[in-house]
Amino acid sequence: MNDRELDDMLNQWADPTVPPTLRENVRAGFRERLSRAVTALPRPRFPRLRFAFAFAGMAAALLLATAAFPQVGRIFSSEDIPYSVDSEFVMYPLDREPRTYLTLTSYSRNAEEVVLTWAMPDHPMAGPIHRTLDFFITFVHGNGKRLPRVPEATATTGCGHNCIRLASESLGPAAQLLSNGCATGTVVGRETILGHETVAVQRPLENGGRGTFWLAPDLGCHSLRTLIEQGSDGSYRRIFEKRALRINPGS
Amino acid sequence: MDSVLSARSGDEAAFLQLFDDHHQPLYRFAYRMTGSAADAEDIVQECFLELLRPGCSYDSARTPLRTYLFGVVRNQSVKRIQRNAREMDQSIEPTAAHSPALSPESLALHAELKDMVAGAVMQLPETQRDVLILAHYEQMPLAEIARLLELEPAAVKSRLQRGRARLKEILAAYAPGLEQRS
Repeated sequence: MNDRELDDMLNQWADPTVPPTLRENVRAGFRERLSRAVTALPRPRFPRLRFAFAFAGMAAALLLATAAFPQVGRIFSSEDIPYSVDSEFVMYPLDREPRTYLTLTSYSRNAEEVVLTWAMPDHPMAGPIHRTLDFFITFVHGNGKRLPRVPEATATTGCGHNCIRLASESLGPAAQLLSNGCATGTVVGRETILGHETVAVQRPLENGGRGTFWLAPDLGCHSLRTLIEQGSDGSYRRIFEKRALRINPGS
Repeated sequence: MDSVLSARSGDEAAFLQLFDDHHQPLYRFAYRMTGSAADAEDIVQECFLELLRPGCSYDSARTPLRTYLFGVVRNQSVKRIQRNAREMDQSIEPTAAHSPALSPESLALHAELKDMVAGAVMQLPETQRDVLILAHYEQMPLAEIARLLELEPAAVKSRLQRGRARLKEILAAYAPGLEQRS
C-alpha cells in the first residue's frame, strides 16, 4: 500500500456531524458560569499579604512599647509595690567561666514572685523580643496557668537563651509557706542575705535536678538566692544561680 | 477588544462567535480521538467553558487560540481514553462493541470500509493517533502540531511516519487488492 492509497482509505472515514444540542449546551454552560461569577463574593486582593503587614506592624509597635516600658505589664496596675529586689542570674557552663546572663527586678506578693522587669546584658533586644513573643503567646493561647484552688508560692528560676518565658518553680501552697516561716521541703540552713534572715530550703525539680531557695520571711518568702543544680544520688552540678544584689524601698 | 476577553467579561455574542468559529474541527478531532460522539460533545463543551475559568492559562500573546483549543481537546481526549480503558479493565467481560481498538477478526465483520478505517486508527497509540488525525484530517501543518504537543517538529514527523506505517500494516490485511498494487 502506498501513501496515496492510504490517504484514500483514510478519507473513507467521513467527518462526523456535530450534534445540534452542542451549541445550546455550551450557551447554557456560559450563562451558568456567568451567574456563578456574579453571585460570588469579590475576594480582596492579597489578603494574606495585608494580614502579614498588619501582623508585622503590630509586632513592631509592641516591640517598641516593651523596649520603652519594661514594666508595661504593671502600668495599669494600681497595686502598691512593697519593695523590689534587683537580682542577677549567673550561668555555670561546663566549658566556660561563669557569667551573668540575666538581670531581674522582682518582689513577692503572697509568696508568689512577681517580675517587674528583666534584661539580658549580652543581648539588649532579647528582653523586648521575648516579652513581645510572650505577649503573643499569652494572647493566642491564654496564660497557660490554671488558677490553683490554693494559691501557689513560686520563685523565679531564670530562663536560658532559647526559651521565651521566664521559668518559675512552685514552692507549694502559699498560705502554708507563709505560716511556717517559709519552711517547706527540706530545710538545709539559715543565712542572712543583704540584712534579711533567710531559710534555705531544698526541693527536687521536675527535670530531675534540685533547687535550693533562700527565702526571706520578712519579704513574704521572697527568694534572695536560688541555686539550680542537675544530677542525682548526691552528685550535683550547678547550672545557674540567682543572687540578690540590692533591695529597693517600695513605691 | 479580544473575543476571549469579551466573552470573559460576559459578552455572550462574542462567546458564541468563538464557538461558531472553532467548534467543528474541535468536535471532529475529539470524535476521532475517542471514537465516541458523547465523549466528543462533552470534551468540546468543556473546552470552551475552560476559556471562562478565572485561572485559565490561555495567553493570546503566546499561543494562537486555535492551537490552544486543540491542545485542550487533545488533553481531555487522552484523559477520556485512559479512563475508558481503566473502566473496561475493571469490567468482568468487556465486549468488542465497547472496545475502541477492534481486533482484526471483529474488524473483518464490519462491512463498510469507513468502520474498518476508524477501527484501524483507533488501534494506534494515542501519541501517533493525535498526530495522524491532526495532520491528515485537519490538515494542520507539522510546525503547528509540534507547538500544540510541545514537541520538536522532527519528533512529530517521526510519529506521523510510524503511525502511517502501522496503519498500512493494519489496513493491508483488509485490502488485499490494494496491497497487491503497491
